Amino acid sequence: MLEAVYRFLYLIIYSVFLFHEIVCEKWSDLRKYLSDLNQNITGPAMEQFVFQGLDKTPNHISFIIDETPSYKDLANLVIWCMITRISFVSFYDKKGFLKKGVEKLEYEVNERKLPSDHVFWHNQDMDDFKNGFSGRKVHVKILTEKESKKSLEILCKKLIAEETSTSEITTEFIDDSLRELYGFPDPDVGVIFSKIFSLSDYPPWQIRLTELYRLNSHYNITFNDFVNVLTKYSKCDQRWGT
Amino acid sequence: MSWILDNSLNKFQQLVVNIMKSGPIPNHVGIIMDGNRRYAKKINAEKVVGHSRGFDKLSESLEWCKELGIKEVTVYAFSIENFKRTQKEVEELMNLATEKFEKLLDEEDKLMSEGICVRVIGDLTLLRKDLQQLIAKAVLLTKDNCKSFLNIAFAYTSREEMTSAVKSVLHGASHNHISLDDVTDALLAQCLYTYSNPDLLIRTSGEVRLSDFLLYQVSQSIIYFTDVLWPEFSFWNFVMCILRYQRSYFYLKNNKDTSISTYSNNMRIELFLSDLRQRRLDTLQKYATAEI
Repeated sequence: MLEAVYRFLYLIIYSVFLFHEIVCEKWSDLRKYLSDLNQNITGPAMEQFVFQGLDKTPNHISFIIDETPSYKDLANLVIWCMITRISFVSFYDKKGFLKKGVEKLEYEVNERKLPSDHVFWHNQDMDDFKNGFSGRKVHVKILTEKESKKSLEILCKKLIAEETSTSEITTEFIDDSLRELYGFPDPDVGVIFSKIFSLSDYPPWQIRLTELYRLNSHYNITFNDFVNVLTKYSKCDQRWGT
Repeated sequence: MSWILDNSLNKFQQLVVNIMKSGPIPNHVGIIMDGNRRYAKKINAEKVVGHSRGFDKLSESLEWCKELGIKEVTVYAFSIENFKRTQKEVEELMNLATEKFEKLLDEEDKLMSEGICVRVIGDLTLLRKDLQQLIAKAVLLTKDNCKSFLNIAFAYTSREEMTSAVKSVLHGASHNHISLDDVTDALLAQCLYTYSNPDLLIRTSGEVRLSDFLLYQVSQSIIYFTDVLWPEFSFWNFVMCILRYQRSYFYLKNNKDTSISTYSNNMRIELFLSDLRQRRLDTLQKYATAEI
């Protein structure tokens, strides 16, 4: 009997909580909609807009996706990263849709970039991968399970095969070896596109100091949303344990 | 303030606990207790006061967890990176820890009657001998308790933990205890200091990163960042965390299958792992009986 009462009261509390959450969400959607109406930023204005008031920008930004990818929106993200001089962009998609659709992403990006822009795709074998390009450039990589927990397993097997002595193994040693496998510097910013704040098995070693933000979805993401994330990052202060 | 509190909840809070228990409750919660020093600054006190208040909050929240039926809690008490703080602060923190672990041992009766297993995860070689000994004694005393688990990350970083797991695997392979095929991400997970994954991770004080805490173990956890400073974290903040967890839980349940992974090991791996655990206990035994 008492249990039924508790369950009933729980239903009420949970509904109120849910209602509150939804109202908050709708409210912020509305505010976003209104501010997007006021500031319809396009083309060259974007560059100007971004360089006002950002103290620091990330070197590597990683997007974590747990929905079917919208290549158009992801391509926009790549272009905006290039505009804000973010050198490394990675997409992590646990289900592996993106890995298969990388050509579609490439196509969408090529549709949007300027002829002088250089986009380096790290998922293909690259032989023309040199410095000395003029114009804006960005490195793009799709991360998969191989770069996640499996990478530590792969490294372990390699070390065993090479008969590496345990005395050689230090945190720095593993860090260097994994970076070789991972190919990118550790991400400074991680944006999770999901209703749930969860890392979906993102590569654990690399996520140590990543500033994590969550947005509901990457569908129809606007330049404003993107700038909001960068603004938050630019205000954060890393203390490195001290 | 002692580690194990008797029920500190008022009638109304107790009612809320009972109601909340109608929903899904996480089995294991990880907490990054951040904001002690900012709290001290806010109330114009010495840093050590902030840390001490932080500890009191820990006892309080362990009590909430117990009431809610949360079986396991892992807290980030001290990171290896924290050794970079001023010598004075590190020393004060070590003294505080010594005092608290002494207190914990004093509470032996309660620990045993409540069946609490205390584990300290981290690189204990970095600690003072007297603290090593206290920690070893507490861990060994409670190692067979299994009603609830308190894991304290002390002199801990996740990268150091992962490095040590790699070393253990390499050691096992070079002594032919395990074969190359046995080396999997699941094996590595089981070589970590703690291999139970939190369902919910809470970080207080507005920072939105993991700061080298349980990187391997939280890769599927629901993460909750809150702006409240740890010493100010209230029962109601905690209820909010649980509600958020429940919302995510229902969402996950509706959208994908939440398969709980259990490890299926062959005999060789089982032997290797039990040997690894025995060696860790032996090290603790050595600390506990060392002459200081």
